[in-house]
This record gives sequence, structure tokens and C-alpha cells, in this order.
Amino acid sequence: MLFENYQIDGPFDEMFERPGVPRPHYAPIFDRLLQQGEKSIQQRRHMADLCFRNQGITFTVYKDAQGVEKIFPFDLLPRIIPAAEWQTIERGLIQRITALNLFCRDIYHEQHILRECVIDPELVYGARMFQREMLSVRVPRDIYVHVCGTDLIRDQHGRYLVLEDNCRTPSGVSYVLENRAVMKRVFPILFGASRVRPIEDYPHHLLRALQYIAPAGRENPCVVVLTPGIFNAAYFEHSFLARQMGVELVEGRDLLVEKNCVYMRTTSGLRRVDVIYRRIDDDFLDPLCFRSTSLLGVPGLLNAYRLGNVALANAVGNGIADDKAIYPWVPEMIRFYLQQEPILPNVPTYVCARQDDCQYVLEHLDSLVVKSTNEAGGYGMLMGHQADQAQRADFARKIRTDPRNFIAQPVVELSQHPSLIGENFEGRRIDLRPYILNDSTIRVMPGGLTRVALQCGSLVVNSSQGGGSKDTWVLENGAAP
Amino acid sequence: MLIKATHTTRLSYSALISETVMELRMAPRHEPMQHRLSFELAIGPPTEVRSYFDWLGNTVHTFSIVPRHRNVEIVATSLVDTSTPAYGVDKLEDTWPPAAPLDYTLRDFLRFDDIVCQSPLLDALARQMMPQRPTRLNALVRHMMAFITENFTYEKGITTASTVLTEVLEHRRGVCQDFTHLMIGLARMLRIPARYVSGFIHPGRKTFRGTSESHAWCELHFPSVGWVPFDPTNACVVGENFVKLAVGRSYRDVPPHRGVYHGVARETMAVQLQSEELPEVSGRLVGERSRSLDVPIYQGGPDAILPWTLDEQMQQQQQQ
Repeated sequence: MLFENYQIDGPFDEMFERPGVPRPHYAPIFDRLLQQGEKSIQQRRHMADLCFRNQGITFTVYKDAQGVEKIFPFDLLPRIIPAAEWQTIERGLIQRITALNLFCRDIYHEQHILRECVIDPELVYGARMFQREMLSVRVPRDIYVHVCGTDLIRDQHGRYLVLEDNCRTPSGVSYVLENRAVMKRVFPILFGASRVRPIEDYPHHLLRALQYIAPAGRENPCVVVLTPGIFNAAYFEHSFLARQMGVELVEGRDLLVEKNCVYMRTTSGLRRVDVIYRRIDDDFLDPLCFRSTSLLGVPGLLNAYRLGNVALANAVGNGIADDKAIYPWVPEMIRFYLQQEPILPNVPTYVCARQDDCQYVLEHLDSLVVKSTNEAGGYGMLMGHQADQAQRADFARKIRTDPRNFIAQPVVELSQHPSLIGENFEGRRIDLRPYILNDSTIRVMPGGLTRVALQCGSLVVNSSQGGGSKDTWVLENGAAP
Repeated sequence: MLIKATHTTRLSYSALISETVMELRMAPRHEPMQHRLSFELAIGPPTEVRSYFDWLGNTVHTFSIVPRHRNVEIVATSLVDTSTPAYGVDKLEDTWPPAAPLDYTLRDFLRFDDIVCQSPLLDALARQMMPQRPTRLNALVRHMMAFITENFTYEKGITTASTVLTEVLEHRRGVCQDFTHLMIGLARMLRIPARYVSGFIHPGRKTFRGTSESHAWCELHFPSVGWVPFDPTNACVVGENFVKLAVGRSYRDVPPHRGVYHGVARETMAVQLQSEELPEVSGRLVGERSRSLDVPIYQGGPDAILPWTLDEQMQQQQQQ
């Protein structure tokens, strides 16, 4: 029962060293699970499921005919990261976000990295997210990446690798907070005994980071969360964060620009807005500037931003930092801007914009993972080894038409972690998305969202593609063992 | 040449609208061959105007009118001092294909977009233009302009402000905006960086007073001296009676006005451009100033329920 049929002969296993022998930091929870037995686990699972349903912790799947809103699947057994291991991750992320921020600043101003030919200018100028309107525009405190979610995976040897950065509108942090709240209720004693680093102050730090960029001279700055609306995949999170921070949740039509300042329509008249935590893509922010016909944005917003009358987080145009075709150069950025060696390595990547790489990719489509450079959520992706001939031919055609839009990576065997599947624990692949806040001091939330590919053998953890999540415990320094 | 120009734009709507947000590119550029001595912007209904430089170095004025209104009036008055460069275009020694690789920032002006777009027709024309052996760049450009004059007809009313190049290539008719896009398209096919210029022509020394119209021409990049202006509509080199307002990759980057408003209404537009040559700089220069015009606003708050309208169809086509 429980772990009897558990297989660990595949990828790196987070919990077990050898069959039946857990790694030291998992020993307490392993013992506890065995003591409590199957029935108690099922009870707790039932309790957790109820919590999620009652609180309406959901996400939305696009292109799904039946009911778009879904409960986010929760996996009971927490992922545990020892203190020392976390320190390395934290240092690596701080280094990486520092470099990405400097990169954005450089690209929109002096462009040293292009002039010194560290990065091919064509890659940046050809990037869909490169916003020429932002050239020479000073953003508040020179911060471009305020909130970042960087995806980490572990290879066969347990080494942490960066899979991608999400600098634009990373989502998922609300699930981290909700997962934790549920875990505390479901495993109160175990949690209390484990000395897990707290994460509950995230909304507080987020609000502080947002207030930090408010226009000079604005006391008690008015912060709002700007959402595309209830049909967005992350609407739950938008409303959750606004509630947690105690600020208004607004849509584009709730805001207007007058005399190059942004105002919110309230029942008691217009109220000036100082900082917008926007969860809308650049292209939809301002129909006047970006010429979209969408109704999501606020006409004139970019002018108010440019004149320093309102601050936006994340900064407009920072999508060049998480463009997947620019990702392979992040280690070079770290060397260029910080004169340091990267702490967290990248996954080897072929950039189809380069002719040699493109040729290689087309010849090895059956063994590579191909990704579109500007999509997220597992959309626009080909898992070469699992795809059929027709799918591969389709991608080959797309790559030939628009090589700039594609990259490819070898299949990385994600690490596995036990998941409660029915009565027993089975190995499922996981990744980790830590959340990073930047208000000149870079803060990494201890833990993050551990996503689980709930399909047996699947390597795709995105919630939109049938993934779930589990709580992530980063242990305090000196916590047992 | 001292030119004073008054550019009047009157927009009227069939119903009340609100929350107009507008951007103007009406101020003459500061350039080595063109000095903006004064610029005054009068707008009604009364509002507050701010300005900034966009990424292409154009001066952009921006304003909003939140209360309900039925008319918007914009009068831009500028005084510029223009001259022509000391070099003669025909003396330039630049060759085609260029000897050295281009600076990467010029590559934006080699890229095609959704107005200046690639097509089999453009491809065929470019192949016809393509010299068989290295040649002088200025000769090639003259050849391109002569070709356009010979094969395309100037005709108003066929195209609009949003007409794309492909369409112009099919019927081979259009106005200066279309001629300019065509010339830019051909140049880019031959890997010569090319950009769009929005401006106007003062009719010339013969008449000191007169009505001008908004005009468009292009600039091609000559490595030896930088951007060199050419007017494909008149098949000529640009003289000192050309006043340059804004540059861009295509018309998209430079419309004299672009706006968004709340409401459902039909828009009509009247544009008038008057210019005169001044014998000397007058003592009453204003520098940069904005003032208000007496255009009414109406009672009632802004109406959030009505949809936005992106004012694209009614942009000022550059015709002359």
C-alpha cells in the first residue's frame, strides 16, 4: 500500500534515494504517512478537494467546449526543498533577474549588448515583443521586471536548470498561497513540526513593490490591478491578488485618461490612479499606441506612462527578456552585465532564426521539443518524440515559413515526485516556478508553484494541458534533518 | 526660406462623443536643414496639451477631451526656416550595392510591414529595376523615380489613407502617399533603407500666399551623407519649400492626427493648410505655446457603456 509499487528506475526522484529509502529531508513526512495509513490519507485528500471546491480556486481553459472554468487539481504530497539547496536557487534567480532587468534597460537605451555584438541585433529588432515606442523612455526607478516567474526543472542528475523566464504577466502565485492555506488545514501537525518557511507575506511585498514605483510626490499612492476580465485564464488570480492587497480590481473601461493622468471611475467620482499592476499584454494596453481594436485597454495610457504620471508593472516592452529566442543568451547577459558565471544553467536550445540550428531542428524533429517563441501555457508546442508524422510535417512547414518564431530543445527528463493517484503513490513529473519580486531589492518567495504532469509519463506540466500542482516546502535553515 | 504655415483640422461628429484622446504629429521637425522657430497649437474644446519625442524623433502632442462634445478643432501654426544641403545629390558617389554592411538600426527601414508589404507584383518590378552591375546609387534612384512617373498615374479618389501597396500595384493609380509607399517598397527590395516623410510643400516663390496641401515623400539612406530626400510624386529632389513634419517606416508611424473616442457617431473631417513665405523673422515669435479654441462641450458625464472607436478611417490622407 501507499509506496509499495512505487517505481524509481526512471528520472531523478525527488523523494527517494533508493526503493523504500527516502532522502533525509523527506524522512519525517514518509514516516508520518506510513504511520497514518491509507484511510487517513484518503480522508485528507477528500478534505483538500472540498476546500478547493468551496473556495472556487479555479483556472480557465481556452478552446474547451464544456464549461471553461475548472478546479485546479491539487496533489496532496508536498514537495520539499532543503535550505542549502534553496540558497543556490535563490542566488541563481537573483542573479538572473538582475541581468534580465539590465538587459531591458540597455535595449531601450544605449544598446551596449547589441553594439558589442554579444547578441545579434536582428534577434531583438525582429522580436514581436520589442516595443520601439519604449526606446529612450525612462521607466520608474529603471525597473522593467517587477514580478517574474522563472520555470526550473531538474535533470537526471538532479541539477536545477532554467527552462524559461516569464517576465510579462506570470501567473500562478495565487495557487501557491491557496495550496499553502489548504495544506495547513489538512496537515496541521506535520506542517507545524516541519519548520517550513512562510510565504504568506507575498501580497504584502507585492504591494510594497508596486507602491515603490509610484510617481514622485504621491503620498498613499493608489494601486489597482488591471485585468482583461472574467474570461481570462487567470481571472481568479487577479481578483485574489487585488483582495489580498486590499486594492481595486479594474478593467480597461473602468479607467480613463484626462490631462495625461489616469483616473478610475468610482461611485463617488473620478479617482487618480498612480500604479497599475497590469495583467494585460502590451498589445492590448492602449489602442491609441498599439493600434489594437480591442476594448481591453485604456486609450492614452501610454502617454500618461511616458510622462511619468502613472507607473505600470511589469514595464511595457519587457517581453524581449522572456522571448524564447533570446533566452539562449541569458548566460551571456549575466557575464556581460554582471561579470559573473551563471549559477543556474540553461537548457541547450536551438534557435531556428539561425540557419544551421534551423537545419538541425528540421532534421531532428522526432527527438526535439519545439516551442513557439512568444506563446505560453503549453500552447504552440510540439513534443517531437510523441507527435505523429502529420503533426511533425505541420510544424516543419511552420518553422520554414517563420523560423524566427521557433526554438527547439532536447527532451529533458523532468524529475519525478510521488503523487497520490487513486489509492497509491505513483511517480509524476514536476517542475518549479518560483516568484520573484523586484523593488530594487530582489526578493524570491521561498518555494513557488510546483506543477505536476498528472498524466502518467507526460512531461507537460501546464495547467492548461491537464497539469496540477502541489505545495512546495522550503525548509528553514537548520530544520531537521 | 522662411515659411509660416497654418494647418487647420476640423472634426465633426454626427452624435455627441466623449473621451477623445488624440495624438498629433503636426510640429515641423528640428533638423540640420530645417529649424522650427515657433510653433503654436490651438485646440478646442479647451484642454491641456503635452508633448514628447517619439522613437523616431518626431514631436508628438497629446491631449484628451473628456466631456461630451460634437466638434474638435485643431489649428497648428508654425514658422520654419528651411535650407538645402551644400552637397548636390547628383555629386554623391555612393554605390549600389553598398560597400560596407549597414548599421543595425537602419534595418528597421528595410523591413516590410502591412502597408509597405511584399508581393509578387512588387517582386517583379524590383527585378526590373535591379541593375546588372554595380552602379551609382543616385543614378539608380533617378531611374526608379522615372519608372514610377512613367508607369503610375496620379489620381485622387482612388485610394484612402489606409490603402496598402499591393492594391496600388494592381491599379497603378494613387496619390503622393501611395507613390511614396511604392518608392519605399522598391528601395527596400533593393536593400536600400527607405523611410516615409510626412509634411507639406509651400507652393513656391511665385506666389507668396497660397493654399498648400499635406504631402508625402521619402528619404533613402546614402552611407556618405545619411538620409537623402526624394519626391517620387513629382520625380524630383526635395527643395527648401518642403516642410518636414514627421518620419516613419510608413504612413502608419506618422499620421498628422490619430485619435480614439467613446461613442457611436459618423465623423467628417475638413483640413486646410495655408502657407506663406516671410521676408524676415518677425519680432513676435512665440516659441512653443498652446492655447484654447472656443468649441463647446455639453452637460452629462462620460458614458462608459458606449464602445470605443479607433479613428483610423478618417485620418488625413496625404494627397498632393
